[in-house]
Amino acid sequence: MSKQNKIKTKKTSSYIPLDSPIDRMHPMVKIYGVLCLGIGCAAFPFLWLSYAVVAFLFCVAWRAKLLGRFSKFIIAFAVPITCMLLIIQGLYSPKNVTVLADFGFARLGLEGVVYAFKTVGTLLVFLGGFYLMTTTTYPGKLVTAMQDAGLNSKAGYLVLASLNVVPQIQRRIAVIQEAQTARGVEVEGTMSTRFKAFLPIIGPTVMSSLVDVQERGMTLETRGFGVKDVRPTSFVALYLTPGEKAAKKVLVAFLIVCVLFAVFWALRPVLGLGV
Amino acid sequence: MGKNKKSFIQGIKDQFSVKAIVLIPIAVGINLVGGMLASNLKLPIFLDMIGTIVSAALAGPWVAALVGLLTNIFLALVSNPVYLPYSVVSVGVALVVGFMMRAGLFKKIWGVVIIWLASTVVSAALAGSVTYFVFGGATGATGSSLLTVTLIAATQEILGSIFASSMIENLIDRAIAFAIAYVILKYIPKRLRSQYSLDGTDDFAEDPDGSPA
Repeated sequence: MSKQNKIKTKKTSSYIPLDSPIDRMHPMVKIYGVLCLGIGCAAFPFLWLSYAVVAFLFCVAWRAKLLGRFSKFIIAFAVPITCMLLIIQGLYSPKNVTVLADFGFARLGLEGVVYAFKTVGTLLVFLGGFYLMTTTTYPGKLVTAMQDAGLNSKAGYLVLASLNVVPQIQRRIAVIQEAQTARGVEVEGTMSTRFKAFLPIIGPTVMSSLVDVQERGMTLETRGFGVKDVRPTSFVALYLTPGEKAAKKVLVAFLIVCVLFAVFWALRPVLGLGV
Repeated sequence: MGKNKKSFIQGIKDQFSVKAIVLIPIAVGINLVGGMLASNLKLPIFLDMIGTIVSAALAGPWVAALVGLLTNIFLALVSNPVYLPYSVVSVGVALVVGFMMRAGLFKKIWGVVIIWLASTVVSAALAGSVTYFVFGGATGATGSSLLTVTLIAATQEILGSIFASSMIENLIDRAIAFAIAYVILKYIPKRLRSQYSLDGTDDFAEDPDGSPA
């Protein structure tokens, strides 16, 4: 039995424990950051804002001691999607009027190119912000912050339990795979051989997981998980510092300014203001 | 109407018993591990919705929808945030599969085929819309992006090409996923199925002679 064919235990969260000001920050501020910056940039009618915010995110990544990883993530996402969108929108967008270049088989249009860069910029703000949030926030803290903000405790359980269950199932599947290989199931070879190996491995995994559901259910019920009208307490306690409260207000203000400007810009012809 | 709506919400709430809530993370795990196993055996498909199908059969459409949503949130947290907008697809497909199972279609082979086709169309439509409206046409992260670009170059039609490429991608994958889920569900002992409250009905294949325990 070859070692490489065993299921590798993947880590279950992208959280990287590094002591930094961003890591210590209240998770709610980071959630506000992702949403306000993302929606603000999406609403704003010009290109440059998204890229300015991306530059800001690079500074945040530097403060979080994650500049290397963040740059890698951004480049790995941005380069292929920019190429694809330049081809799709730049060459074939129906909105194209102004021709930038003529390749014979298709014309590169200005409107499509602008649209492509606008989309990429907005996506970079959203995904980059989300990436920074998940890499700098311990999942337990994140769920506690969301519960403090009113998330149902059962929903919180679901998120955390999913994170815990996956490595457990991975270990189980490795054991089952070994057992099936021992009784002669081949996991290597032609495509049809490998297809045939799938069912004998996934089947017992599902069955034993369902038995596990029963055990977990009973355990939770005996500990009062289903009790109603009681506010459950959390092991992790979180407090907002005055600076973080101010940061939240700044982020919301950014969102409001962006949206107001976008509305103003869209209504410009109606209001009778010049181009 | 008001009374009707209340009972609808109550019906959703009834699906979320403690057992069902515990089932959800496990089903998410099965989804993810199925995907990992498929890539481990170097199979050219995803097979990442077996858990969704099983939970739809056991605990109902809304539980399955939550399974789909959490699977994508998990993928976004662990591997790539690109998966987050595609949670719309998982939720939509889970609801379609769940409600069609409720209608009893999973009991017959032709019913399974109908569910398979319906879920493929829904997922292609939703995935295509997400790719078009959120990402502007391609994510660059999946193999189908190249197919999309080729189709656009050939047909000059953006939306149709995205839809066609995600249709091709999904059709085969879903067929295998449903076949596997169908076999697995046949073998689940009755003792394990009966504890999820679904108006006391059994939702999937139940022949008097079949069902080996």
